[in-house]
Amino acid sequence: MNNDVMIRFSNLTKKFKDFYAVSNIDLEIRKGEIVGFLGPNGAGKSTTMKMLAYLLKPSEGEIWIRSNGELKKLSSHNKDYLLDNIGFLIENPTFYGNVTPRLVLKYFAKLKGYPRKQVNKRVEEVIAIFGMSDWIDKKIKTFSKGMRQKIGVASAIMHDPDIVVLDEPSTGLDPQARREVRDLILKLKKIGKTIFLSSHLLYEVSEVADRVAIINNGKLIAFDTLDNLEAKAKKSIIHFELIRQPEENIENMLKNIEEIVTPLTGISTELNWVDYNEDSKVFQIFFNGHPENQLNILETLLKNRYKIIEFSVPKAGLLENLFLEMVNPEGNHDFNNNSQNNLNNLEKELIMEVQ
Amino acid sequence: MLSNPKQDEIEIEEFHVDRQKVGLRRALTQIRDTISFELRRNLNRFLVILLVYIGFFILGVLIFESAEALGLPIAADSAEYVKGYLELNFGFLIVISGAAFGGSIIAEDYHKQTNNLLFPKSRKANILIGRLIARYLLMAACLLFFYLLVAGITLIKYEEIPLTIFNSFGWALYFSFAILSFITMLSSFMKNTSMTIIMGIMITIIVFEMIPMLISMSGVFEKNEFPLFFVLTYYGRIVSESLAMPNPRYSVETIQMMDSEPVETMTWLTPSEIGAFFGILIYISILLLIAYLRYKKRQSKGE
Ligand SMILES: Nc1ncnc2c1ncn2[C@@H]1O[C@H](COP(=O)(O)OP(=O)(O)O)[C@@H](O)[C@H]1O
Ligand SMILES: [Mg+2]
Repeated sequence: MNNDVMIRFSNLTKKFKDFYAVSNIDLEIRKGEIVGFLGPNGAGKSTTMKMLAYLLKPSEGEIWIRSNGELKKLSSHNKDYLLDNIGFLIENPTFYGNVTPRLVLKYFAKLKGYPRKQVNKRVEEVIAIFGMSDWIDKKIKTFSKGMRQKIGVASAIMHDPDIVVLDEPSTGLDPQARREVRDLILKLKKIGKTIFLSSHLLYEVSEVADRVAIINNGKLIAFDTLDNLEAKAKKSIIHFELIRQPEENIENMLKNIEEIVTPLTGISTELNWVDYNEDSKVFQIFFNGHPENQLNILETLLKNRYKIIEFSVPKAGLLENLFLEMVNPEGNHDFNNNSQNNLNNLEKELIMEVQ
Repeated sequence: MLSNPKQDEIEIEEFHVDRQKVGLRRALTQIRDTISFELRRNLNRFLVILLVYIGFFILGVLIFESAEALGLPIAADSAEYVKGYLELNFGFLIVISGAAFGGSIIAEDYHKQTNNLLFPKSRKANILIGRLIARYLLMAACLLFFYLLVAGITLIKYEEIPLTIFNSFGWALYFSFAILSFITMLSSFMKNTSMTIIMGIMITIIVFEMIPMLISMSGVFEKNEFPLFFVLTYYGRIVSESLAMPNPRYSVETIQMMDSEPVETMTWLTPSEIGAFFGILIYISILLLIAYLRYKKRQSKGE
């Protein structure tokens, strides 16, 4: 059962003075999987990764890393040895401007003891994986953020580690560069790497991760596959749009929809809600997530002459909202107070199920 | 972007990586690779500093040649001629180049977060040693070039070079390492490279230069060389004075104010060779020790 665990955090805690940046994190990362580490800014993602890299010492708890078939506890004595098998890209290093990526990549490979005779070959190999051949011999100072970030990911795997740790690799990149970084990550998985990837954006993680760990205020509040997280929440949100934007009587219309839909959502009455977002012109209905209920709701709405042109249940919808809730507990998102309470309940539910 | 359409077809061969074992060999390799990386990385900086040295030399030639043309008294012998170049505030030049080569040595990694790339990979001691060696080599190369130029023109003008130029060069090498150590120590505390350079120059030029002045003005320590041993830049004086060690190593001047009695003030010209040797050694050891300890404890951005 434990055979394929590559990294284990056990009760990992980091205190800065009286402030708990990371508290009591338990997490296992298995061979060959991508674990997404999701949390808003300041949640403690980088701090956790820095402890794994031994850039920070844990205040409490342990980190175990697989080496030669067994899990070993990370300490100052074995850190060089254990961390040889991990490649890191933590935060957003800007690199040295006055050199070429080739020089930097060679240097990093050698620092890690990559066989000297094979270093040049390795550089070519990584360039090929990342499609960087056109700018590998240009000075880094002329590069865009996206190019630098690619070098960052490349530098993490120069010494060919089995585990790759990437801290918000797409932060600050344009959509095109983001897509490229995402493809890189998938390529790394394809060649058998185990990946620990942090982000503050749900979709970024949900696109690639096999399992997602959600961290907030230093605490792990959920850790599972996306599907299971959805299923555990057991509920989803229907989004739909009407052909004509309702201008008047929106209150009445909402009341009416709620009346006809409530028997069909499959959740207890006090949790029911229907909402309308003025900006996006999207209606939202909270339901239990079953396809049957979804169909019933759609049919009923049509029967009642709602002219629906868009009808969807976004996959990450509920998590997205849960996540927004964590990022922005003050509100300031799409939902009214009523739904906020619902989401708070949901969050509690998730926490309970994880524990 | 510029991606290779064929990249997806590339088969990554799975081979067992035989990485070098962790230990002394790996440490030495890390130092070696750091030296060559740093030499490459600081090449532009080196060329700029070299130009400054050449400019400084040309300035010296212009000054001495025009002095000669104007019929002002010229250097009596080759040693005095060489000394002329070194007394054009050569110490300042060493400080500037020390700051330029050493300013980024530690601070840069924290400013740019490159420390996060380096440190799961290598040990701080290895990086620091490699960087010190590389930057010192570049600095020494500038000094060597400058001394060669001065020796060349001395040979042309006097048909000989003073043998003591080797003493002077030796002291210049030794003193410049002390300056580099001082900048390294500063760099371990500062937030970024430019702060280190500015503070380094300010402290050496203003603070260290003020102390001897204050000491001689106060008159309290005037007969005692001891307080000057605490002044890093005091050791720089031996670079030029060693061309012809003065005896005694102090000068006495009489200052006559309007109404008061004439006052004798004494100025130390240079530390003795023994004094300079141990003084600089102690300075270097302490500075590098502080730099290393601070570097070792220093964590990512935000401390
Ligand atoms: N060196 C430090 N000293 C004090 N507080 C820190 C330090 N590093 C991080 N923190 C704090 O710890 C919390 C978590 O930070 P971090 O791990 O960087 O978050 P994330 O990477 O998830 O955005 C933040 O509130 C941050 O301000
Ligand atoms: Mg972070």
